[in-house]
Amino acid sequence: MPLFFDINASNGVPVYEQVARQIVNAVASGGLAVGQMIPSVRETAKELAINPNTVARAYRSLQDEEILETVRGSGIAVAVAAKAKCKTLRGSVIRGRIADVIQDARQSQLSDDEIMKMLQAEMKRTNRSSNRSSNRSSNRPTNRPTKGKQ
Amino acid sequence: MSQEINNNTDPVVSITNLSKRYGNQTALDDISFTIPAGVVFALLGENGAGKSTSLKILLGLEKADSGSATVLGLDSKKRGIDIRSAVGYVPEAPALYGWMTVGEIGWFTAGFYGDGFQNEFERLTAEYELPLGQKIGKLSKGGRAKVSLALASAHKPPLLVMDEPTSGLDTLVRRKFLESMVDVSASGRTVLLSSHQIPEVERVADIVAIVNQGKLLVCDTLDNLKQTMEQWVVTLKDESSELPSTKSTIVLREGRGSRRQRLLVSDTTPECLWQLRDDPVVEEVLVHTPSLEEIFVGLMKSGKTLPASKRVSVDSPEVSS
Amino acid sequence: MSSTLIAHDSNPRSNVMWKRLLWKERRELTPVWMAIMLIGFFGLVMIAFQASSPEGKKEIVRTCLYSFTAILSATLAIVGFASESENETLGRLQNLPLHPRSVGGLKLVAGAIATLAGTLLLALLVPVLCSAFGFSLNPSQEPLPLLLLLVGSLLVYFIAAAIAMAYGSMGKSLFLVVALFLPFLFWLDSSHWHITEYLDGNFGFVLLIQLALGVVAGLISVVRLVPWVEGRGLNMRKVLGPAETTSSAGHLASVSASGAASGGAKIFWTCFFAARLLQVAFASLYAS
Repeated sequence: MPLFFDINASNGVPVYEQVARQIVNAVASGGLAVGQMIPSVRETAKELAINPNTVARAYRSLQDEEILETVRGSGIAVAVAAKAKCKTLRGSVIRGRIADVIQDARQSQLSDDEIMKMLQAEMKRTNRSSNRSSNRSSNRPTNRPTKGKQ
Repeated sequence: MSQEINNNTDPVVSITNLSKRYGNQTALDDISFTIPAGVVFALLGENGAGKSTSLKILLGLEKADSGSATVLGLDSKKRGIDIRSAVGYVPEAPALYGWMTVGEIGWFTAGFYGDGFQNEFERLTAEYELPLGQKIGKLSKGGRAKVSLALASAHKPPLLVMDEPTSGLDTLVRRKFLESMVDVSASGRTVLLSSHQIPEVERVADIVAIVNQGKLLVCDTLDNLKQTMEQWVVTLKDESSELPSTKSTIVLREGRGSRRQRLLVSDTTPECLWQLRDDPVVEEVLVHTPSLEEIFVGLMKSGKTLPASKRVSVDSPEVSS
Repeated sequence: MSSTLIAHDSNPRSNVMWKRLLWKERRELTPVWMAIMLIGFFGLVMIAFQASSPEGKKEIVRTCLYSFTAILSATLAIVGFASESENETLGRLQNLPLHPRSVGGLKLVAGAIATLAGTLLLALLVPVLCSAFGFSLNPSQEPLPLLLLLVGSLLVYFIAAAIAMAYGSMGKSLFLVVALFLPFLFWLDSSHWHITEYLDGNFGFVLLIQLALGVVAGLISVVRLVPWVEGRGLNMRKVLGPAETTSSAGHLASVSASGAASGGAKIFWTCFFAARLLQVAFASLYAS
């Protein structure tokens, strides 16, 4: 059962975090069902051609958050209470990204009003064009997300 | 011999103050590092940086002028044969007998290794979709590379050494190589590769050592490297003002004397960043995590060496006897 | 020689190792060996058949026999050493868990055996076939020529191997190795054209000693050229220097010089060349 992750090792987000986030997103959207087995570290690492320790780290962090659980004798599965948690987590990830954008905007000497206006205008615009392809340039800002060291 | 191969706590490879010259050309200049068991260790550097030379010294194929190297606890200077029979090695340009078939070269090489070699070789060639009856001379470059990989890993070595394994190969074969590398590592074995393919190294490596002109610029885990280094793009209020000084170590500074300057910094603290952001001459500072390529380029251009982090440069433990 | 080589490797699988290495040598040398033997065999018979007088037959077959065995040994050496170093497969062997000494030693011995076997076979079979055509040619009545033939073959083999090693490892093509070797082959061979005169004049032993000196010198050269010591690369450019590699006239000198920076080979080469000079001098005296 392949996971079809999209990994970019050089975009500034640690690879283990990318793996963890994508599992969280998959669980939140129902792509991974509660109780479903996920591929082993070795399988996932080989399939994505990424370092197995990185995959193990992602799995471990998700196990710590009780999104994944070890099923004795057969491997790792999505935990029972995972879906709600993942939705919350996804929310907080997106909140974090919005916070990054706000921080960048304030760095560029924009007032909060101006930021708000931009946000609303952007939402309107993407709403209109959502039938066509989503706006790529807004998905990939030239400045990568900051590291949250404030 | 197998009882000499040490357990998981000892480093698989340990290099101490290794130097090597060819005539008046310095290949290696006082290089030291250790490789713990179970990691993917990448030697990163441009062609002629000394990567191949260090691998050859480890395998006992070349002699160092000074310094020492041990592999699996065996001294490279004296135990080259034992090292080569334990370790798997994919050389940079694998020279194979063109007149042999895939099966024949497997059988020929099996004569030098343990009993399981032949079966594992046949399993691997089946996985790599190499027909055993095919003449090696008639295989593509990628096909020959796969044969070389199968030959190097069919005795299930605790350490797989690969010299520029993917250079010059097409995408699918490269992917296969990366997958096997990952698979070897996932089975708890150690991989040492030399490469100048930065994106690949960034995907698969635990520890990265960057070498330039025989010198070791940095040796650290990829995570540490990315955590301790930041890229700052500083915009000054006007062109005439000087960049304020900072307590962080500036590895590389580009765009000197212009309004926008790019800095690669290490050992930085949030305070340093805020200090800079609060400085009256600074308009804004954008921060990102540098990619390995940006770190590599920064170190190459500046020629600076970074102190190794404590996690990697564990004091080399006693060589097991 | 091979027993000491085996003793060096304490690997329990060394028996299998040797068998596989020998298998490889055999597969590489057999086609060449067979081809030259066939050409030599029929060539010699043809030549003998065409010669007019019985004395002429004897003379021409004998000299041609020397030439063919020289070609055989030179080709075996070049195929064995130059082709492997040119294709860098010698490096592949070095990556295997065995001492470079073993690789080089086995190669040298295997080639030498093939050379001697071929020479012996030609020397013994050609007279048999000739007698079938109705004229007698029996070298076994003259033990010295057969000995000379074998030692001469070895000499050519070792020297060709040294040249092949040196130039092959520099990435030069096989054709270049052959081209460089040809003048030397002719020069060496020219003495054989007068061989009967020497034999009649009891100079055979001089020739034998001279050839033996050459064999030792050639052997030392090859031994010095093979990277016997672990960790010594095969790169001859380091030894010869780039200037040397282009001069074809000095090829032998450079090979012999580089083959032995030590005194051993130098002494033997000097003796060998001195003996050759003496021989030429004697020959001119003899002729006048």
